[in-house]
Amino acid sequence: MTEVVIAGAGMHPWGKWGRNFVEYGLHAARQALDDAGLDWTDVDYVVGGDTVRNGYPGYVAGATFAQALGWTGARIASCYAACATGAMAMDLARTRIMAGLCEVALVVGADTTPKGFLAPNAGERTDDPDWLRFRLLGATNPTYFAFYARRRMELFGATSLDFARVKAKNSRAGATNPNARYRKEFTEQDVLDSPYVSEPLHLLDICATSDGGAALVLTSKDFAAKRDVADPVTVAAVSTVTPTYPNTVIEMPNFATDAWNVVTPPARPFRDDIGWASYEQAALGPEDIEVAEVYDLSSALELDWYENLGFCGEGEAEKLLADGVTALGGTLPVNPSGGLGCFGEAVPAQALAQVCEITWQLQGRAGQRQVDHGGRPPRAGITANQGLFGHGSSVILTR
Amino acid sequence: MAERELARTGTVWSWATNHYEPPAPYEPPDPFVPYTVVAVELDGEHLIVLGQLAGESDPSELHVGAPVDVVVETLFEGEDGPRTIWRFQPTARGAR
Repeated sequence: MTEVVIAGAGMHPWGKWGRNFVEYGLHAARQALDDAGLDWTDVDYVVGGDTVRNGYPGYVAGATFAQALGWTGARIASCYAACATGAMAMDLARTRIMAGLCEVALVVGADTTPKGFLAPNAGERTDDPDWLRFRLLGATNPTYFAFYARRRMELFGATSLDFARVKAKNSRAGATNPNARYRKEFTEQDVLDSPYVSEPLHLLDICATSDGGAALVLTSKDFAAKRDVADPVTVAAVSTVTPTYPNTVIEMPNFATDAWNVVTPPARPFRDDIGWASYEQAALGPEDIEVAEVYDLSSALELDWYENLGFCGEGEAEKLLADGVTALGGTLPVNPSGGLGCFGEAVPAQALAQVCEITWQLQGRAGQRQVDHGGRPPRAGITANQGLFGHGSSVILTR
Repeated sequence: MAERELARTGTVWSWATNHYEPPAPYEPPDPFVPYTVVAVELDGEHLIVLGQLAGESDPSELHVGAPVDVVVETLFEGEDGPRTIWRFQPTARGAR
C-alpha cells in the first residue's frame, strides 16, 4: 500500500483577528507549500475543512481555498466533522493518495469565530438537538466539560488544583509558541482565582474560541523522495471512528445517552476507541508514543485523554501529571504546543494544528518547546480529539 | 416500536453549575441567576438524561449517586398557557 507522508506544515497564528477566514487559510497553505518546497501547481487535490460560521464560502471551503489560490483544475473536497474536521480532511486526502488517485494533496482548515460561547445556528429549529439543548436546558459546551470534570472529582478524588496544574503546565509550554494566542504563563493560583464558568471549571480551565488557520501538504512517499522533500514525516494512522451503540457517556449535543438495557455496551467506550483505532492501524501502542497533542477543551479533559489513550490506568491521570511525566522534560510530554488552553479553538483548523505540532516535534523544529528524548526528537506522536455528533479523531505520525 | 413511560426517579451521574448567561436561544431570567444542569441515570432504565435542577434545590447537596425525582416545572408562558419541562429535584430517599 502506498505510504503517505507529511511534506509540509503551515499555520496562521491564532488570535482574535476579526478578518476573513480565507486569509488565514491562504497564509497557512502557502506556508505549508513553502515548507514542502512544492508549488501550488503541484497540488492535484485540495481538501477544505468547513467552517459553519462564515456563510456559504465556509460550507465549500475546498473550493474557496482552491479559487483563492488560483484555479488549476485540481479535484477538491469540503468536509465538516466539528472539532474533528481536520482529521476527516486528512483522511480524505490520505486515502486518495493511497488509492493512487492523486500524488499531492493540500489540506486546509481556517475559522473566524465570534466572541463568547459557541452557539447553535439561528432560527426556531425545534428538531435540532444542538438548538434544543440551549433552548430547553442552557446546556452550553462547558456544561458537558464540567460533567466530566465533576466525575473525576467524585470518582477519583481529583481537585480543582489538579485541573489548574494542567493549565499551568500548558501555559508554560505555549508561552514560547509564536502561533499561540495566549503566551502568558499562568500559575495554578491564577486559575483558581478566575471566576467559575461551569462549576467546577473556572474561566482559565476552559478554552476560548479563536481565529486561526492550519494546513498540511500530504504526498505519497515516492513523490516526496522524487522531489527531494526534506524530512518527511510518515502518517502511520488516521482514526475517524464513530461510537458503537450503545454509547453510555453523555456527549454534546445530546440530551441523553443511548439506553443500554437491551444491547451490552462495547468493551471500549467511544473515547477509548478513538485512540485504539489509531494504535491498531499504526501497529503501535501507548508505550511507543513520545509526544501527544490532545484536545484540552477543558484542563480536566486533558486528564481524561491520558487514560483514553492508555498513557495510564483509569483514575491515575492526576498522578501522571503531578509526577511531571506529561510536562516538557517528562518522558511523555502532552500538549507541548500549549494546547487549546493557549490557542483557543478555531474549529476546522484545530485538529490540523495538532498534527502540525507533532510534525515539527518529530522533525526537531519546535524551538524552545522542543520535546527531547535523550538528545533526540521524539520518534512517534499521537493526536486525539472528538467532534460533537460522534466524530472521533486521532492521528499517529512517525519518523 | 412502542412508547413507554420512563422511571420518574433516578440517581445523579454528574452535574454542572453555570455562572454565565448562555447565548440564545436560552431565555434566562432577568436578572440572570446561576443554574445547574444535572445528568441523571434513571432507575432501571440504563439511560442517562439531562435536565435542569429544580427551582429551589441546592446544588451543594448533590453528589454522584444522590437520589432525585423527576418534577415538572414551567419553562415559559406560551400564548395558550404554560409550556412545561422535566427537571430533577433531590429527594430524601436513601442513596444507593
